[in-house]
Amino acid sequence: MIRFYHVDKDYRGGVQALSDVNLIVHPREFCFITGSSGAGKTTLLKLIIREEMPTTGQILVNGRNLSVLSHRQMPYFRRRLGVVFQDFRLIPTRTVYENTTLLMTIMGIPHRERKRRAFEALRWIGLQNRMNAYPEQLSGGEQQRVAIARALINRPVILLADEPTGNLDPQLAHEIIALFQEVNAAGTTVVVATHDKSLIQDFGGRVILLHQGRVVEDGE
Amino acid sequence: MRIFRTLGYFIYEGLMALWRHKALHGFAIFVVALSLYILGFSAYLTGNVNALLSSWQNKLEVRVFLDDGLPPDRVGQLQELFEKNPMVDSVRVVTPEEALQTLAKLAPAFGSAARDMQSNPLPTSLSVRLKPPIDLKAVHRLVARVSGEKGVDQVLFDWDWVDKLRIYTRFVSLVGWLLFAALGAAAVFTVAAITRILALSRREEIAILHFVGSTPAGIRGPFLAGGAIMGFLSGLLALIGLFATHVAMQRLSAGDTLLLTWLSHAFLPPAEQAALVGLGVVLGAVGGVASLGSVDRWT
Repeated sequence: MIRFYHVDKDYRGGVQALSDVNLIVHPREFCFITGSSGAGKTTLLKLIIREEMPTTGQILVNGRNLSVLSHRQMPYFRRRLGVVFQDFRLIPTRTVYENTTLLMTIMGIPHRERKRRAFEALRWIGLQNRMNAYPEQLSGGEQQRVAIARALINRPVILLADEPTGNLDPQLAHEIIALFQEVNAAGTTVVVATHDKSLIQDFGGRVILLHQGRVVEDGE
Repeated sequence: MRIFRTLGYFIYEGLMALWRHKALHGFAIFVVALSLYILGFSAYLTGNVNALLSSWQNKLEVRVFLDDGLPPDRVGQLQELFEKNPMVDSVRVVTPEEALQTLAKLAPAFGSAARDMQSNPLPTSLSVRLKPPIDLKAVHRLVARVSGEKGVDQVLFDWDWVDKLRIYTRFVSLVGWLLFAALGAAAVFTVAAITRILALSRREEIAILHFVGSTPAGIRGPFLAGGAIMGFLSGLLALIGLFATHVAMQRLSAGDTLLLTWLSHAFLPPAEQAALVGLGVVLGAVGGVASLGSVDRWT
């Protein structure tokens, strides 16, 4: 599902974010990417969603070589991925329903279909009754759930989460990871970047440890 | 159907942006409307002047004065010569008596003076009406040719000032376009600046749209629609302003101001009204697009 071949990523000023990263994430796999701040977790996710390009090496995601993915093809590629961020990245001026269905609205999907899919996704995360609420009316945990619903509504093959529990208390963090496990159980590949060791210990599974841009441990 | 729903979303978003930032958009609409008003006003003036000139020009006649005592058969030949010309609508022989009567009507003093003379000093003439639309150059060629005909004393056709007036009208039109170009550029710049401000204020939203897989068109669409709606409203505002000016000029012309009567004869024709609004839409859309150069890279 995700393959890195000798991937290096250097930023301007000679900062090396990733160095000779080789890894394979299989379909329907659940894995954590962990490491201290600056280890390269976020860079690795940015490379997967093709927000960044590797300095050297090749990356394959969902059968596509990202080095040759054109600008035009990128939106269609990203529609097959779901991304969840630490800061939720919800649009404050839009309701829960609008936040989750924004892409479908732009794509011209009929209102009835949007509503059905939004209801389905929000019911899964337990927020089907908050469709008309605005993000500021929700707790942090609820906002993160909405972000997950938005990531899932297009039925992605891969769900990527960058420190999704960073702004949540431990109990909510557990709930969110449990949700990810449910998503994974339904057949979606899930990659979670986190520095929270207790979460990894509690949930287990494959752990890829990064240190100074290198994979130093891979529990494949 | 999907495309219509997407367009509907763009228009809705454009309208909502307008509503949320009323003052900012109001200013942009005013600037665009001003540029359109100036263009529209020059079109209004030139349109009326041109219509007036055309109506005059279509009533033009060539007056051919014949030599005294010209035999009727030669008069008939000359009449026939004109009638055969495709530019000519009709030819009428004006006898000296008829000419005298006309002169008496138009200028009684001259008329009575001429009547007091022992013999009628006015010559026989041909009144040649031309078919509209009139090609002035072709008429001049005809006049030159006929002037050399035997029995023709003088040919009167002095309508060059119509051409001159047309040149002035074109100049007014050109000035209108130049002013429009300057103000139009300012209008595009204003719309672009405002759209840019709005886009920057929605930077986070744009980044999210990139992540969820929106195409660049999906991101630009609402801004483009917002610009086009601004342009449309500006066009309407300019039309309202022009119509108010037209009504005001007509009211003023009721006080016997001949010039104003000519200039305010008719409002812009529907096609020009539509073109003005369409131009507003284009200006707004261009402004909207121009502002989003690097939006594809906002993350």
